[in-house]
Amino acid sequence: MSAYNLAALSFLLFALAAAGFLTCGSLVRMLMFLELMLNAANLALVALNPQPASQAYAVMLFAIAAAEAGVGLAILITLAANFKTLQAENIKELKG
Amino acid sequence: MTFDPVAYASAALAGPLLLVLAAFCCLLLPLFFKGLRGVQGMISLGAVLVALAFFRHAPPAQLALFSGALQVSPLSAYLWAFAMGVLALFIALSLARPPAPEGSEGEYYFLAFMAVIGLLVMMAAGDLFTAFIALELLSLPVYALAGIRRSKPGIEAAYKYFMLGAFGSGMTVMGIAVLNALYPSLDFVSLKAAAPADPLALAGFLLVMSGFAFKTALVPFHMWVPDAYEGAPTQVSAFMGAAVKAGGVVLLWRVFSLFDGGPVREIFWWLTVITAVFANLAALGQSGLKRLLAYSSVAHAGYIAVAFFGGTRGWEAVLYYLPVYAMATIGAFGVTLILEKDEKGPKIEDLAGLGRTRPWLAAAMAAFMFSLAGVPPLAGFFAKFYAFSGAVAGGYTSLVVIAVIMSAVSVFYYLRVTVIMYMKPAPAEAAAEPRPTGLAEAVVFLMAAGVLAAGLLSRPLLALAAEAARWF
Repeated sequence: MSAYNLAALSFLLFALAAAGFLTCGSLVRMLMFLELMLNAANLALVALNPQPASQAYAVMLFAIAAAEAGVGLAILITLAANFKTLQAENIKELKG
Repeated sequence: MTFDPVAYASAALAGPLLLVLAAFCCLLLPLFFKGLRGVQGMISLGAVLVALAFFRHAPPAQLALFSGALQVSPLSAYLWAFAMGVLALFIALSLARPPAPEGSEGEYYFLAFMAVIGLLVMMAAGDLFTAFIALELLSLPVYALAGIRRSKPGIEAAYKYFMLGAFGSGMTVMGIAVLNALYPSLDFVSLKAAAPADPLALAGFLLVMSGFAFKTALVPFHMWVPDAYEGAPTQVSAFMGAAVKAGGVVLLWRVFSLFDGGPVREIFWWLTVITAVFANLAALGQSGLKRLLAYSSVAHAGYIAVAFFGGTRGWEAVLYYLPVYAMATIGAFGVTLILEKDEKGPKIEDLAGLGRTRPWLAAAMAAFMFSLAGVPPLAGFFAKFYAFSGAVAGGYTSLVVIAVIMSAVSVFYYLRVTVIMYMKPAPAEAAAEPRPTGLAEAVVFLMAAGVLAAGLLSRPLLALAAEAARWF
């Protein structure tokens, strides 16, 4: 695959993930779409620039994605324990 | 005197390194020494005060550390002193009324330290990727801090903040990936040199900026702000308003200043206008004090964005604006903290009669409100004046006219708080017995004095800001 195709793939992936994030109501799915966004960016980082620095960025981004998933899952577990649901529309303790 | 880079670097980094050490002490030592449990707050406060004491007048030189990832200069010293000051006040407020559940104080202060270390790196970052890593180091702990109570409002605030914040980070990192493909290097100097022309680069910059705008809370990237501020512990809301926003502002400025004109500036112009208009109108309808302060923080992000259009003078204004806004906002949240009976904080109506029952507290709150509204001679007036005058000198008169009009609208809701405090009688039932909040009151009165002093004697702070601004 050429770099051009990979770029197209990563943009498509990013667009799909962002659209999915904004439209779905389940918080677990939203978290998964977030991870997908980061992976799309990671693909672009690795595919579009052959410099070693850019590859190193990708490895650091793995760590960030993992940390984000960790914090996100912890928040979702506490949320589920409090509200007994993970549907965004059922969680409205706060106004707005 | 000869310039010694090693001495300079070690003097500059001593404070941040001390914070790292203190963070791990708070987290780990109480596991081994039971006597240290419950006193992590005091340890933290001591460490921050010592770190602040390390600050000397920075020698006028810029030093690139870690192959350019960190740029240490009088500018970074100014911003670091600001960030550590905010941390000290945050810890003092947390000590006054601990928000963390029994037994998790260690984690609480550890997360706070990590967030501030992220903020410090972010403020001195020399390239875009370092800035992004620092942004994550700042954001992830604050998501957890917002939900530290594990209660319904707190965790809802945390999830909303997390989801939108992480979405913003996703946009930023995608933008960085695009720019990384187009430019040989991501450091700000070479990004500036290679003037961006093609649409792909523009898309990259816009993605990066919208991610940063989430942190700064510019409309339409502000959706998380009211809920996060309302549900999070009040101390954490104050931290978000004062520190997280400052970090976002610095990064936005770094990207914004790469452009001398063109579509990025135009889009940012619109963002500024929408922010100033929407936030002030939305604030008019709020009944909760924390939500009011949240919308006020969005509005102030708009005023700071106006200053961006003033070039170097604007940057001076921003550097003056950040501490002035932080003082008023931490003070107002401190008053909220003293008065709050549940997690969502008092309603504005609950302040009725405060002018009679606790006159000094009411006077301090009035000072914060007037400063936020921009009434002379308080510091908020000069902050707005400098921010707007730079943009006028830059030729953006229409932008400033809109901002001034919306600022006049804001006087209404700030004044309403004051009117309710002084004009409305206290409710008939006896006010709840004031809980011991000596430290919170000390913070509030310190901030009130600061707002007054930075206004009446604005020269010293402004001179510091101007000196720091030269190193941008």
